[in-house]
Amino acid sequence: MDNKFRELATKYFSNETSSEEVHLLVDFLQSSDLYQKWFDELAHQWSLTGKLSHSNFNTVKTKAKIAEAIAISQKKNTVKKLIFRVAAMLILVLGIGGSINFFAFPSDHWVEYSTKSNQNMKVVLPDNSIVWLNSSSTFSYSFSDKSVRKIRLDGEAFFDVKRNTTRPFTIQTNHLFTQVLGTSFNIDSKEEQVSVISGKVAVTNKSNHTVLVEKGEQVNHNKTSEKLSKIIIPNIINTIAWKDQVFVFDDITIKEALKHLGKTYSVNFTYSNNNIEKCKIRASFNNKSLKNILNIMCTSIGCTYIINKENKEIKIFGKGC
Amino acid sequence: MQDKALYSAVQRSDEKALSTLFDKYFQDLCFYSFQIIKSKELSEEVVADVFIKIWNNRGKAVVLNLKNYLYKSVKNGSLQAIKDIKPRLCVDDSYRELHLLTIDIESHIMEKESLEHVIGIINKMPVQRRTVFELNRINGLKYKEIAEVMNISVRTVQNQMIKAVQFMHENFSENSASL
Repeated sequence: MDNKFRELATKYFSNETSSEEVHLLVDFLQSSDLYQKWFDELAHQWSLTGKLSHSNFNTVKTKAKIAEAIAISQKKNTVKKLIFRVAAMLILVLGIGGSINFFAFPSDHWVEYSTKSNQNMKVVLPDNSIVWLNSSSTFSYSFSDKSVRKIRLDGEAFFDVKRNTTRPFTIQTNHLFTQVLGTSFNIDSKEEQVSVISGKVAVTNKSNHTVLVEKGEQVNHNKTSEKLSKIIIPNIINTIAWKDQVFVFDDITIKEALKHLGKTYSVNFTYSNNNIEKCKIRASFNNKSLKNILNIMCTSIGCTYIINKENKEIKIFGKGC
Repeated sequence: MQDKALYSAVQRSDEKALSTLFDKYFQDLCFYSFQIIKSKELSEEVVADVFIKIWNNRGKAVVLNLKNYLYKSVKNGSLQAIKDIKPRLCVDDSYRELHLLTIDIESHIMEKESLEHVIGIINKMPVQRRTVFELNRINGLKYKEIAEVMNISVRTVQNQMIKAVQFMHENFSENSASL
């Protein structure tokens, strides 16, 4: 490849070209298809590197350290600062990014976390309960009341709650109120759905209808009838596959399995033939890429697939069962 | 808010302004420090110390170019940290995975293999080239800013960027049959 062309393309990608250089680059591209081909390859690789990041450093721990140093240097240990320092030391965030209101606490002591459309976040609360926040979700907590642990949620989250019989853990979403003592469960406020992975939880809606939900069960809220309905979900672990990409398909239909995959990876599946949906599968996958999972599934039921990246649709071809 | 306005707020003892600056630069500065120290904990400490220093000197010193000052201080702090701990320095086990991550969930699935391949190529670059490339591509610094931070000429930055792009192209195409 031509040195001058390489220089121009590099500067162009990193936004360092003058307008004359842009003209020169265009001349190159118009002069031969080979330059155009090289340019496309370089542009593709450049855009791939733009999808890399590094946010894995502990913001909250470091912030707490700075806050403490500042507080000490000011020698004015007001009550507010003391509370702030204690809270700062108690909270530990392991997830990436998100926005955290930390240095300045809101007066009612709610601490809020939110994720963007391409992030998940893990938060360890002061009582050592753990919250995994799915993408495009917001959650906040207030532990200032000694008799109850209060959470608000908009979006989807999985909770692993530390048991404390004297201080219930409550989650308020738009329509549902969930109360637990110590257990693990998933709440999806968009679907208005609570799925219990272990233990027992009580879910109440706005018309005061309450149901007890146990391990392996899911409760759904029907907006029109204002009723809660409970169903048993086989392999309920799949409802939290968005958290760590672990799927357990124990003799379920392809239709069911692809529903879980579609939700976790935000893709839609279509079939060339409805008989494919009926095939059954028994397999488990631990943190494999979607392509990898599809390859294995297709080998076992004899199908092929085509990925349409633009509208995130995957079409499955095959005879079916 | 612009760095200048935030910094003058810090000089007026506004903790919130310091917090905003911290949020804006923390991850990128840690990443830069990490390239030098290769320890997650130490790089967080180095960056924390820089912000504490800015706060403690807020009445005494005036920083003209904040971004430049932050990167330079982190660089100096990281080099000092290496000197202090050299006898017990060993490369963090989590180095490779911590180094670069894919941020975008969709591409994580669709192009996971390609992205892992790209990370592998970047890791193979000589140190200076990789640092220049990452400061530009990941941290978003201009050639001029990189030159100032690394104490090299803009010409060298440009040459390293061209070589990085070339390196990527050669290594990528080599294996493209398997992608």
